[in-house]
Amino acid sequence: MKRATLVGAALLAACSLGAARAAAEPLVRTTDLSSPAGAAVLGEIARARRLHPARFDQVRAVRASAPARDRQRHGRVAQLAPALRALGKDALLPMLSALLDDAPDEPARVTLAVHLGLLQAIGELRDARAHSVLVAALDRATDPRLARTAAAALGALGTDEAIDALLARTSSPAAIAGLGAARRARATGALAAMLDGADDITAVHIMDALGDAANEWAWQTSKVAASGERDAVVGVAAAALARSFVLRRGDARARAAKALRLAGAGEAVPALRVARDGAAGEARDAAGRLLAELTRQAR
Amino acid sequence: MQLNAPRWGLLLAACAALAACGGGDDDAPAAPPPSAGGAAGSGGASAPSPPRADLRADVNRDGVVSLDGPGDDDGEATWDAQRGAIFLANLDDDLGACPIVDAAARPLSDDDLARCNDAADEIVNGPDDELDLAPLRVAPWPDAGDDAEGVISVSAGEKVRVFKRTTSGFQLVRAAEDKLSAAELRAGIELGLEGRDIVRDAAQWDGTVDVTLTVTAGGASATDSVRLRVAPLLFFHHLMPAEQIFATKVAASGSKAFRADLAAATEGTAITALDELEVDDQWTQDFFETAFMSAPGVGGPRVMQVFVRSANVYEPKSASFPLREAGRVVFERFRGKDRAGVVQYERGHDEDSDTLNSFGNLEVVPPTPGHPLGRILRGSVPSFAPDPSFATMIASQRMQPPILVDTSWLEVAHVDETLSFVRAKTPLGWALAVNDARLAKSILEGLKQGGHGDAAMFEGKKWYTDDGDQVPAVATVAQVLDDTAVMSASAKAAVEVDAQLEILKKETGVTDDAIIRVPFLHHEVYAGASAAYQPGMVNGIYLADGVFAAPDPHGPIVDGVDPFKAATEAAFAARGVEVRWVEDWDLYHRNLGEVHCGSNTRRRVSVADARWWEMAK
Repeated sequence: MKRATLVGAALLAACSLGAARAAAEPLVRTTDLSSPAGAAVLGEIARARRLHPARFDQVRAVRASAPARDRQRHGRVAQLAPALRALGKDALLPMLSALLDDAPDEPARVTLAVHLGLLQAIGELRDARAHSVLVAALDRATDPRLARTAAAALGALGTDEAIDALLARTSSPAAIAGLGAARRARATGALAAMLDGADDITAVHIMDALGDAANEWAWQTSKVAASGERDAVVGVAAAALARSFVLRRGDARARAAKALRLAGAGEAVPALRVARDGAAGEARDAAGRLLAELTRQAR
Repeated sequence: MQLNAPRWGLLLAACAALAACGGGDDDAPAAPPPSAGGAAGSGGASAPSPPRADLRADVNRDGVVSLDGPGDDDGEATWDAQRGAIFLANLDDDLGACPIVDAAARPLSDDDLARCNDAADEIVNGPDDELDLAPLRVAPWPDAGDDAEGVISVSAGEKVRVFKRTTSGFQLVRAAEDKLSAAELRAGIELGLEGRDIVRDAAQWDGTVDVTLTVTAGGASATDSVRLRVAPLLFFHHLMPAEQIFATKVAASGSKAFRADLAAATEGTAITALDELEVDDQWTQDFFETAFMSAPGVGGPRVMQVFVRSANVYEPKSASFPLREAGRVVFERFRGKDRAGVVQYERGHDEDSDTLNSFGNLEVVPPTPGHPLGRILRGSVPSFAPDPSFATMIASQRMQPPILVDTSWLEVAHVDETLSFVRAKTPLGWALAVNDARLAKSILEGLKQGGHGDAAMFEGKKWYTDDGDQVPAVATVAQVLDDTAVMSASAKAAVEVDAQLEILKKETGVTDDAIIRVPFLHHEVYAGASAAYQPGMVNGIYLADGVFAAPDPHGPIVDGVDPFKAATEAAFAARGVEVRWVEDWDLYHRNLGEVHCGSNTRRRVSVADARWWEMAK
C-alpha cells in the first residue's frame, strides 16, 4: 500500500470513530514537574528507562492497544486499567512516563481511556513517587472523570502531602472524592467537618467520599489496613453520615444511607442509634428503619 | 350514526323509516325538533329515503367486520379493553422493496433508511400488505339516490391512510377529494385503514383515530364514526419462548469460541441455529431490540415482528450517519414481510449517557399483577438518563410502564449487568437472578479459610495489550480478597444492587424467596466506575424454559470444582434451571460485557400475549 493510501485509510478510520481529536494539551507536561519532588521523579523515570526498557515497552504495548480497545468498547470508554494493573509495581515509572506530554493525534475518547487507565493503575500502587504527577493531572484535568481518578489516586497515596494537596482544592468535587479515597483520619475529619454546613449538592459529594473512606471491605485489605487508622476513620465517617441522615431529606438522605451501608453494621449501627435518639418525628422513624435493616443484615 | 341538518320533509320520511325499523338504533336519523312542522320537498311515498351512514370496524375484535347485528356497531365510537377496533402501524416491507442504497449505490442515510416501509407510499403493496390494513366497511344503502355521496374523514390524518377496495384493488381515499359515489354507497364499500406510525409521544398523539363517514343526500347529511387504536409496540420478556438467537461474527479473538458455545447451549431448545450477524460490533444485544405489534385478524391475532434500532448516537455531528452503524441491520437485514423496523432518537442527547441507549439497558420484567405483559426495566436516574425521545416513545405505548433503577455506578451502566429473569415456580411465575457480591466474597473467604488461598482464578486468561503480547490475568484467591480496588468496588456493588432490588420488590412484588443469588465481584475501572471483575454470570441469556446460558467464570478450581460455577448452578437448579457455560472472556468480559451483551433473541408471541387489548388500560 502506498503511503498516501495509508494516510487516507487512517483518516477514514479516524473519521469513522467520529470522536473529537485529542486536545493539543497533554494531561501532564514534563514542565509541570519543576518542584524538587517532580524533578526527582523525572530523574527516576530516566534512570528506569535506561535500566529496564522492557518495562516501558510493556506499558507502551498496553497503550498501543487503546485504539483497538476503543473500537470494541462496551461502555463509555475502553478499559485499560486491568492490563496495566497486572503489570505490577515495576510499572509505576513507565506508567508515570506514559502520562507525560501524552497528546497523540487520536480520538479524544481513546486518549481519555488511556489516561483513566493509567491514573487508576497508578493509584492502586499507592506509591508516593507519583505525587507530583497526580497533582499536575488533577489540576490540568478538564474531564471530571479524569479529575476524580487523579484525585482518588492522589488520595490513595495516603500521605500528609497528598492530603494537604487535596484539602487545598476542596472546591472541586474530585478533591472531595480524593479525600475519601485517602482513608486517613485527617482527611476523614476534614470531610466530616465540611459536611455539617454543606448544601445538599456538596453534601452528596462529601457523603459519597465518607462512604468510600468507611468502606468496610476496603478496610479488610492490607494496603488500607496498614495505616492503623480504621477505627478513627470509620467511626468519624459513620457518625457524620448518621447525623446527616437525620438532618437531610430526599436524595441526600438516600446517599447517606448508602454510605452508611458501605461502612457496615458494626460502625453504622451505633452511630445511627445516637443520631436517631437525637432526632424527632419523621427523621427518627427513618433512622429507625435503617437501623432495623442494618441490624438484620448484621445477623 | 348521527343525522345532521335535515330538511323537514326528509325528517318526516325519516320518522316513518325509523318507526318501520323499530327505532332505537344509534345509526338512525334524529327526530325533528318539537317546533318542527309542515312538510316540504318531495315527501310522501316517493320521497327519497334519508341519508344513511353506517360505518363499521372490527369493534368486537374477532378479525372480521360484520354488518349483521350490533357486534361491530355497539360502542364503536369509543375504545376500551372490552371493545374497540385496532390497527397496525404498517412499518414492514412486504415486498422487500425498500432500498438500502441510493441510485449511486451509496448507503442511504440513517433517516432515509428508516423512512421506507409499506406505509411510506400511497398504495397497498400487494396481497400481504392488504393483511396489514384494519378492515372497515360502509354498510350498503340500497336506497341511496343519485345525489348521494359520502366522505371519509379521519381525526389524525397524518397518522393513517384510508383505502377503498375497487375492482382494480385498493385505492387511496383522500378526505377532501375522493367522495364515495352513490353507486358505491348503494353497494357498500370495503375500506382498509393503514397505520403510518406507532405512537411516539402520547402527548402529541395518543394512538387513537376517529374515522367518520359523512353521507349527504337531498340536502341532508348523516354521519357515523368509529374509533380505532394503533397497536402498541411491545417488547419481549424472558418468559416468551426464544425462537431465534443472534450473535455477531467478528474476526477478533474469542468470537469463534463464543459462538460455538452459544450454539451448543441451544441444544434441545426450540432454537435450531445461531443466526450470525456480520457487522463490526460484537455487542449484539445493544444495537437492536426485538418487539412486536399485533391486531385482531381472521383466525387469530395478526402479529408483526418489530426490530428496533438503538438510539446510540455515535456521530452527533454527522448529518447522514449519526447512529451506531451496526443498528442498520434493523433495516438492511431484518425489515421485510411482516417484519417492521423502528428507530427513535434525538440528536444532542447527552453523549456521556449514550451507553444507556444500548439495549443491554432495556430488559422486560416478566408479568406481574396488573402488568400481564411485564414492565420495561432500564437504568436511568435524572442526572444520567437515556435518550428522552426514546423514553417517551416506550412510555407512550401504555402497556409496559418502565421501572427505572440506578446504574450510574456501573461503567457500562446496563441493567443486564446485575439483573436477569427466568421462569420459575414462584407466586409470580418467575425468579429474579441478581448479582450478589457478598456471596462471592464469602465463597472466596471460605476457600481461604479452607487452605485454598493460593488457588488461582482466571488461569490461562489474559488482559489486553497489543496483539500477541498479553498480560496474564491470573490472581489467587488471597490476592483477590486483598485487592482494594476489587473489594471496595464489590462492597459498593452490593449496596447498589440492594437499591436496585428494593425498587424491583416495591414495583413488582418479587420476594426474597424468588431471588437467585449469582456470585461475582466487581472492580473499579476508574474512579466511580464499576464493572464485573469476574465474568458476570447473571449477564446471561435465557434460551428456553429451564436453560440459562452464562459466562464461564474461570474461578479457582478446588478439588476439581469451580465453586463459583457450583454455587451458580445450584442456585439456578433450585428453580429448575440448568446453567450452560459459554466462553466469553476474550471478546466480551475483558471489554466489560458478557454473554447477554453479545447475543440477542427473537421470541415467540403467544395468542394470549398478542391479545394485548384485553389487558389494555
